[in-house]
Amino acid sequence: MVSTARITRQEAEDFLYEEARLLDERDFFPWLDLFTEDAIYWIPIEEHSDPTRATSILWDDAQLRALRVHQLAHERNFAQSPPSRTVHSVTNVQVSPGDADNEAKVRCNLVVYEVRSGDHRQLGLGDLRALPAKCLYVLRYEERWRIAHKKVVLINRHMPLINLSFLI
Amino acid sequence: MATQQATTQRGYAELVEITDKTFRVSSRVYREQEVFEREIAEIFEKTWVYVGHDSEIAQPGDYKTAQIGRYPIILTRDKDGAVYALLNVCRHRANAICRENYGNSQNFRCPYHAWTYRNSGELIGVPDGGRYPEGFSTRGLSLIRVAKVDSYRGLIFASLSADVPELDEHLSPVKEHVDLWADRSIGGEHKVLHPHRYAYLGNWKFQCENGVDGYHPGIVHESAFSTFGEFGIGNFAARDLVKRGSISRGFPGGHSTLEGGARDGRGVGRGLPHRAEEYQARLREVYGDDRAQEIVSNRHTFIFPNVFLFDELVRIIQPIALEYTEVYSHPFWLHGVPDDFNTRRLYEGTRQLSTTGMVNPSDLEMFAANQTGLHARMEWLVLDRGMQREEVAPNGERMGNYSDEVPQRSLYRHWAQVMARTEAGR
Repeated sequence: MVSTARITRQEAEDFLYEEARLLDERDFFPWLDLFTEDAIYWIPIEEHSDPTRATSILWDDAQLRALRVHQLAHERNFAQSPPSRTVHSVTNVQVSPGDADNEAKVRCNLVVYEVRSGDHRQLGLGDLRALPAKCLYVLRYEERWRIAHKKVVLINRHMPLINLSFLI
Repeated sequence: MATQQATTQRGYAELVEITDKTFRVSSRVYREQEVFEREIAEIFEKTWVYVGHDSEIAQPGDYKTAQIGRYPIILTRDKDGAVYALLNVCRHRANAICRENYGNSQNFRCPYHAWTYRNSGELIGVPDGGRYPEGFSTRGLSLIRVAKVDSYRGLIFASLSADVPELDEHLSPVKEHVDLWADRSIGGEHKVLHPHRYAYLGNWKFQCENGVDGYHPGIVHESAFSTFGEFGIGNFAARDLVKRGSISRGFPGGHSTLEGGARDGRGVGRGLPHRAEEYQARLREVYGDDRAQEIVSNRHTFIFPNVFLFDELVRIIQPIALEYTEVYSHPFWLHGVPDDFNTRRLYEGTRQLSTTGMVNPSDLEMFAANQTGLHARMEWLVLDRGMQREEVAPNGERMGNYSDEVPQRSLYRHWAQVMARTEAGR
């Protein structure tokens, strides 16, 4: 088990690039399957806070991830009509041993570029936004590598953000 | 050409046109820079506005920075526990002295020339003070205090003008609803947490109108409600609320409520039923059956001009520009309930109404679309809905169906009064 849990940087990069591709291609149901059943996906405001006691930008368990993806597929989701186009750009990948035998930690930098097109002259549309962040993943080997924890620390996390109705 | 006249020539009161069966608001109220400037000057910088919650500055030395209209302020608690609202402006050359949002400090030191002030405002240090002419005194150079600061049930309000009624009088039309909200904490006060912060490309009043608009939820939030339905979460069907005798109210002073009225405790802790039952049993013990039911009913309370009390959040509206508004939405902890119940409330509030909420961003999209449409300068917007069946009480309180535009009309009745108030004298 120990040996299978080692992940190389290249394997980690391949994993993260695949996640980025699924998000950018709006292939959300396979994205859900990247996570373990008990995984938490967290975008904190205070980086080292306890999300059960402090405000988070996003704090999703499996059910809430599934809810979001279902809402994204809904034809009358107005915050996503027209939908966001995104580019998830992953860099600075580093791997380290996890806390459990079958886990690994992966750190990376992420910049998500987002724009909603449609009639771009209208307010709320046509503005290209960038969300730079550092990410901390705990990957767990369960027949394949899965996300057991995903934490995205945005650099502008304390500031008013506009329409985060897409997936980061 | 009459419609092209400048607003000042027409008079601000004429921007709201009321007859027996019609209530029309001029599109100018959302799209004219001059109107926005006057709103900031006459509403935000001359009347009571919400600035923060006691629990944000709970300890001696705690402070929070905020903004009243365009004035940067610091809300402080001194060593004796007294609360001050001070202009965040050095008396020397008008630098902002505090650059953080939250913190704890007995003193504030201006970063420019190090003039230093106590957190109650007194100037206590001027470097190299001997260079000033004889007779120079630090007395009279304290940080300027906001004219009025007062609080009710933990909610702190301030007014830059001293010429306002007491806070008690300002809140009196809606006080009953503030009490119902505050009574949810048993034997203590709510504790507010760090806010969700978001912004939208639209006028500030859209958010004021929308938080008590019972007409839109089943439409704008269809994707959220139907998803919740698919997953068997909660009873979110907005159209049902209307059937169940839900109501909207408008009060003198521009305040309003939107009340689910469903006496099923839907307002608090839906997702943790055993805790919700314990909590409601405790409420019944303390307040009696009827009041306990009222307390846990779903309720949105708007206090003019800038704060909403929601089931899980306190939402502050901050106008920044004519077409740009920031919103700070503080989750809050109920006093005297188990942590897991509060955690669940935090989770549900984040799921629904945060920056990434499944409900909230669609509202903000409507505001941007609304502001876009206003560029066409169509003159009148229609706020007649439910006028024919609006009940008016002797004290001026108006009541209607959940989906009626009673709250919006109350907002604009008061808005027109405040905006026109000093016109005659000019």
